[in-house]
Amino acid sequence: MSTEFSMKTANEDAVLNTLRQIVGPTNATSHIVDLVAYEKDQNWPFVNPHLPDYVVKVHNKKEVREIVRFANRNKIPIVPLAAGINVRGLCIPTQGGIVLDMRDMNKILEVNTEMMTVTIQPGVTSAQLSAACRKYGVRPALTSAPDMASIFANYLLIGLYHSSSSDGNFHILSMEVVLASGEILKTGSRGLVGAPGPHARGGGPGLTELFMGSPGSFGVVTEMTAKLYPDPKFNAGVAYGYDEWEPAVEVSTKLMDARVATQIDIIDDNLLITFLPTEMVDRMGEEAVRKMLPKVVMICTITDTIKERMEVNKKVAQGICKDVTEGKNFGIASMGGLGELSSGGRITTGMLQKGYYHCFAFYAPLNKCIDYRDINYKTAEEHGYSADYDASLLAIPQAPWNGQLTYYELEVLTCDPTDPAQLKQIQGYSEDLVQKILDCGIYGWFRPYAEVIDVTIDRWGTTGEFIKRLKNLVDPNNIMNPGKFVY
Amino acid sequence: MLSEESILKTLQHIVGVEGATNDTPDLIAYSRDQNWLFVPPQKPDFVVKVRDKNQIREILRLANRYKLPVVPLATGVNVRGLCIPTQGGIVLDMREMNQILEISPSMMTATIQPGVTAGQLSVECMKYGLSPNNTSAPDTVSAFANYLLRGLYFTHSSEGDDHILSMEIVLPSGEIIKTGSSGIKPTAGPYARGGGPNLTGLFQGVPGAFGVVTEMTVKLRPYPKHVWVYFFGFDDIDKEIEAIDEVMKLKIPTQLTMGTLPDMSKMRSLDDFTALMGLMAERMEQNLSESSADQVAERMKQMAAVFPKAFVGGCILDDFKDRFTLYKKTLRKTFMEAGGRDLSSIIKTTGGFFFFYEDDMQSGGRADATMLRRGYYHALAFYGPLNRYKEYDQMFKDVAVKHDLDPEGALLGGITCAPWHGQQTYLERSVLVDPNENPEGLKIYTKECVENLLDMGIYGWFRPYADTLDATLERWGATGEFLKKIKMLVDPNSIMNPGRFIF
Amino acid sequence: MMELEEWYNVVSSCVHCRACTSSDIHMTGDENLPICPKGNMFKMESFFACGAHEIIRAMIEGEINENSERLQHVIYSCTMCGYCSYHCELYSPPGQKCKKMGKTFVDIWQDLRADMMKRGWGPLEAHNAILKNIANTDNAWGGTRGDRERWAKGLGAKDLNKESADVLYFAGCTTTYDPKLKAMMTTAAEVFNKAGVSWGILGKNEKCCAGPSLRVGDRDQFKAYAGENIELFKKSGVKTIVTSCAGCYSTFKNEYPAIAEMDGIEVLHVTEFIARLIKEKKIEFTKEVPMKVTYHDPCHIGRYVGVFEEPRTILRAVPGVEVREMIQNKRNSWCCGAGAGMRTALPDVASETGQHRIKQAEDTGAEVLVSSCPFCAQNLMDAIKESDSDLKFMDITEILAQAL
Repeated sequence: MSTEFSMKTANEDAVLNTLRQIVGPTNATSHIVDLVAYEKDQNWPFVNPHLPDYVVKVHNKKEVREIVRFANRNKIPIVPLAAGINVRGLCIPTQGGIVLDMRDMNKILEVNTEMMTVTIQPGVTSAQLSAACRKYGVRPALTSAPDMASIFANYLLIGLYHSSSSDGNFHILSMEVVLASGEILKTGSRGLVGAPGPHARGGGPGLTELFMGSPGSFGVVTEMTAKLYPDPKFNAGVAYGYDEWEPAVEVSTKLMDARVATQIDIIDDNLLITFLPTEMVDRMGEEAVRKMLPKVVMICTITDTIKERMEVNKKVAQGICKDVTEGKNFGIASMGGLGELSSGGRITTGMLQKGYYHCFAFYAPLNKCIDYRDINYKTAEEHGYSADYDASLLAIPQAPWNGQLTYYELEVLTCDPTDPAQLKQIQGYSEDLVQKILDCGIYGWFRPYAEVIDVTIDRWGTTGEFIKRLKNLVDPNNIMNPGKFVY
Repeated sequence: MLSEESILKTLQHIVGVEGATNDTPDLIAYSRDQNWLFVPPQKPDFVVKVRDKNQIREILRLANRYKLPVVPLATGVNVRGLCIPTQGGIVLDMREMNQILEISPSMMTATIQPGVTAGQLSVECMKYGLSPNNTSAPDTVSAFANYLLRGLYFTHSSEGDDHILSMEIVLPSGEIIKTGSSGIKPTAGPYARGGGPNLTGLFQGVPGAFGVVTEMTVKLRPYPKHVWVYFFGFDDIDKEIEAIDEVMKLKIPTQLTMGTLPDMSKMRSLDDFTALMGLMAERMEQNLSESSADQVAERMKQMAAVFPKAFVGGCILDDFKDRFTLYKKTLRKTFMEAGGRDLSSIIKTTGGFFFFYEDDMQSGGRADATMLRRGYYHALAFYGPLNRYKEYDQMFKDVAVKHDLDPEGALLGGITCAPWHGQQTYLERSVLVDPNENPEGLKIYTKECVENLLDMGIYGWFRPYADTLDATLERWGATGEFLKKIKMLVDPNSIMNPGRFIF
Repeated sequence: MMELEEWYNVVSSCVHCRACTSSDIHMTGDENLPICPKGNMFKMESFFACGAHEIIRAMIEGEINENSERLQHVIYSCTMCGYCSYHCELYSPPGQKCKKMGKTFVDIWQDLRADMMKRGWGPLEAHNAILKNIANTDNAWGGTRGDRERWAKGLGAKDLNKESADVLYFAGCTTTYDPKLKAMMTTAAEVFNKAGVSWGILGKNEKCCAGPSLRVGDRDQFKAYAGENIELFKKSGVKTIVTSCAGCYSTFKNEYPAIAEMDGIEVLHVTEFIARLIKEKKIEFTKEVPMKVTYHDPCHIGRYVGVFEEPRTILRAVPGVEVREMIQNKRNSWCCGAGAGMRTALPDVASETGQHRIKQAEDTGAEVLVSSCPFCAQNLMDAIKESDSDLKFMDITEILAQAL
């Protein structure tokens, strides 16, 4: 049977025919067998599964432009998908339309070690990019998401990195966006004709960052130039275990003030156990493993291209840790050991091992850590979870450190939502938790997840209204991933 | 349309009788700045001194309804005509809206109003053992406006040029939007960027053309414990550039200025020296203030014998002695291996803005006022990759020769900017002249240099100065069109500083 | 063997991490290499394991409630190589859940095909031909039963219907009925004889292992043949079954225990057996065979059962043989393309997959591509021709025989 023939549906429509004219007959489909692969992800308890009407695989920006123009004329929603591994339903076509599958648009266009930049297409994965850069002795900002995640989408949505505590999490210098009208907008130094490359922010207002932090709601980004860093030759780790969160927070604050860390991770035992090899946990038994682990671990990773600097920073870090006497030196040399710094960390899918990974991630000051921990524990217990076993907290201080900027994750890792009772439980907990977190006060959500966005818009006031106006400006027909952001 | 009198009455109703005026003597003071050659003088119709955002809100609503231009002015020391009311209207003088609302050592932030000056902020922060990212502009400049327009800092090469975490803006409609972590209620504080698209960036680099920013929270840093000022001379600028690239890639926190130097043998008087060396001249002036002309000429001759063709100067700041010592060692080694000569002792005699921290100066670099000593400090400032320095430098020289100007009469200085991707360097070609001598020549020279730079390719202009705007818009393509749409969205009646940005 | 509905929990737990679409860069020389033959060929998400999980979920929920060419295309273009399962098992819920159950995705795909047959939605016509052959002639090729013993005449094989021996050599249908593969059997015999092994065959009574039946979805046929075969094995009195066919091997090891007890009869692949003979010093390879080879791991002895080292051990035991590894090897081996009825039903998939493997073999600089499975042999030999490659293909025992 030929592929083209097998893709035929009973009711071939004009839309599908047009799409096929743009991308070729085997790259556009409306067959349910092809569509079901896109209708849900692990966050289905909060983002209802929904089939797209079409799936289109694109290979270059010309195709993207034509598809977007066509969709805009006919008011068909477009959901851009780079790899789809946001685990939060951001690529689920909740209003139908076209899933624009850009996985095969995956070229690394340039690795420039003089400019310390890399220019990539949407489908480039984390593993692909880190491997390519390694050949040049450099590394991109590496995400803690799985290897196969689109590093492009990750930068666009502003992710979390192995060096967030020092390099921050803004890694895009310039990009190219196809707007709903089909216009191509170039941000950063790309915008100016004749510029010596896409390697810089350029002059004027920061347009690049306007298109970041939203899930393809403002346009389809087709190319970006991102930052590169030297591949660190020297690695060290200082890790301490604590019985309580307070000393871990104190140490981390001091380490960040001193600017010695590449990365600081503060994690509790419930999360740490998911990073350990499953064979080990199965063999020893979970209880026995838990007895070995401290309640809270602070892991300070220091990497550098200058050995002496690494050693100075390590000495300072060790001094700070020793000054806070409640801690005990902990065996893991560095978080790098749990996912090498110079490659993607597949092991992070450990959080998905139990089948579903519920998480609220947000930015807030480190000095409120205990407040968030207490909110999570209390809310978890109110909804029938065990604070000791089910609820988890992760805190990663970020650069720039002003505001004691910290990335938090409040999690429940033990839910199996295929059980209707557990599904109801997690939904209740989630609804309650988001209000409590917002009432406590945060800086902002990590990403505009379905569970949080509506509630947050109520509290976003005129700023939220302004963003809606921006959305309306660039996407007057609301075709760009509708329903996933401000509307 | 209301009459002028009735507008004045309404304004006075908002800010008090003494707060609004349309008297010519008051208006004249706002009609021009040192850049009058490129931004012709123009009086506003009204000047209003505001004290709080509610007043601003009411004024904007009024102006929006009656389509009156509004020019926000924090202190107006941008030296580039950005606050000149070219289309008349209201100058919104915010100098007295100058409170430092909060300095938070635990959050390492300061929350400030528009009229807060660089000197004021620096002094206040020092009381807490903290420092803002200090601009190298004069003391009296608005730190607020400087951050908004993205300036040049003593920490430029390690902290970059973006120091705003969140801000509050009044739009022409009177709506107030809060960017960054201020946006969501209740907030954990205005101390961070927050989630979602970054609106703060949208309002930066724009001279009040999108709205009036009334409050911002900015980054602070610890007051540095260890400071080292350095100055190296190079005869081979290619090697110098390579060495700078290496230092920047090693992320040695520093402020790094570089550039070619004029032929010192031509200098005879202090005036020659300061005219050319500007920012590096203040101490020389002090040191030689009692000397005779012959003594000065002799000193110039001595300097000419040691001054190099090109230089790298700056400072290293750090809090840990071991690390600081390592940085000094590494930087010195890198430059010396590239053929550099350590001339740090010489720079101590000439002085300069590098000494900001070492001298424990609690204010901005007054030395920069020396740039204005000839009456006009003309500069083309832009961002480009360091590896094209020589090309840019040569272009400026060629155009100078073409128009019978002294090609050595100005420096092309560069200040490396973090993050170092793209070898992002601030480049400035300054000319210190009496603007009454050959104004047309200067304009032609500028126009040609602007076009040449755009043809050669730059990352972007430092700021949207009048002499660059039109030529740039032609080349900004879809980006420029998009910015126009943003402008129309926030300011449909085009009242906000019209003619200063996209339109 | 489970009903499709019983897999609901597993297939619903797919988190779309896409580990099933690409190799782990730490294992394949810092390269992101494709691992799924049909996904690599057809590109649509439906063709990867993550797509298959959703399709199965949709079938269980009734969202997909009718048959279609597309559905058949997606389901039957899978060679069941198991690469996706191996990766998922390392990192993600469906694979890890399967592992806890002692199963892999291959079990899911087999149960899916059984379900397709139950619904009357499959198998494909070409598959039906195979099933018919088995039913009529006890072999997948429709060949005569006499051929099962003709190849062994004069080779020292005992007739296990009448005599006893230690080892039952089970040639398998493909090895027997494809003349191009005769050397696989005859050279195996040579090696056994040299090692003094007491061995025999079932001859005309040898029946298809019925692995193909299971792979295309006919459980009933499988159960019937498996039951009969187990009885035959027990009746023969052998201690050990040795087979050259990777498909038969994995079927006996993985599937037969669920049908009936084998009374402790050991099942070995010929490479395992010969490796043991070398270790016990019952055989030595003394003649120099100067040859640069690269070894292709058949899925059915490799990923399915875990036999990776023995073939390499015995190749290295041959003087003059230099073994070079392809970039995807052992548990990361790229499928030859022949599995699960592919050559019969979707020859284009088999061909493209095989040619992909030939390119990898060529990249090693080897002269000879070696394997130890008749299906791999067929498909790789064809792929060599289709690629116009200079490579030669040999079965592992052919090389050993040269060294005797």
